[in-house]
Amino acid sequence: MTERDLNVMEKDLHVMQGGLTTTQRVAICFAAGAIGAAAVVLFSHALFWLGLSATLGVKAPVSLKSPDIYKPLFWGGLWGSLFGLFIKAAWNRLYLVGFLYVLAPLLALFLFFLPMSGAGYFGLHRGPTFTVYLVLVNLPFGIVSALTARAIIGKYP
Amino acid sequence: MMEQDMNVLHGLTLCQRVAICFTSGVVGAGAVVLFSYVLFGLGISSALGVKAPIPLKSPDIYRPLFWGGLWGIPFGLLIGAVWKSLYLFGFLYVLAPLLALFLIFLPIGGAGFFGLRQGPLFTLYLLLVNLPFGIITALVARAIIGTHL
Repeated sequence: MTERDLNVMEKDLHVMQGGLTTTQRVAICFAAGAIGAAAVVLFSHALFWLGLSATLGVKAPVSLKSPDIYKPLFWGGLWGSLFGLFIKAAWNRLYLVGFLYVLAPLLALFLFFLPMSGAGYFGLHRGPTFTVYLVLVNLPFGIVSALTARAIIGKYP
Repeated sequence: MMEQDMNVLHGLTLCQRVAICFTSGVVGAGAVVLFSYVLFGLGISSALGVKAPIPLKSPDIYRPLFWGGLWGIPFGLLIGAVWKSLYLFGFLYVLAPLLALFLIFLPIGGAGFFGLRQGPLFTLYLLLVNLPFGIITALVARAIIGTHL
């Protein structure tokens, strides 16, 4: 029996059980993550219109212009793919795990991307209110990704 | 809920297919980006008057990938109907984004219908470079979905 036969058997087994394969969950969560990222983009505009962004020292929401808008959506998809790898294990506490999952991209932002771009760890070179803004604006990502994934996947992960 | 119960018996729901094909479309678009580098490396791009492949720089690279995902959505809506001839349909599916490019996006961008203001070779290049999209999207979707739709 080849590896391919085993993969086909795994897929057949999942169909019989009513669940999805890991690859299917990852693919679905990529899409869910893109929607989670879209929620962050919309939320940044909501914060801007409410005046909270300005209070925290941020002068503009996430750009809706092309090609800038595609970057957060694509990265949301990538982070969603990672979420898809363990969504089945977290299924019973999906919304809690989903809500907390925002910490994964936030930590990457705080400890890797912001220092690389010169904003320092946690973006503190731009002041602590900027860090608070980043936490706040990204809050919808995990929970919206989880809600979307749950809506797409249904009862059986 | 009933649709998801049916899923237990018959495979994937429409939403699941669409989500999977969104991701497949992103991979299909990734193949187009890579293929533009192959064409560039082989000197075919320059023979057709195109001086550079699709930029890999951020944020430009994300646009074709995301649009590939968006084009994967209608593919996902149709995949159930075309499952038996998926690869043929997938190969031909590149015509959908190409027609949108030729009849909407290029005229809006000032390149004229079919991009003919930049010459017929440019049209040929666009046709050629986009060829992998549909078939790669179909192959990836098939690999993810498996034997049961």
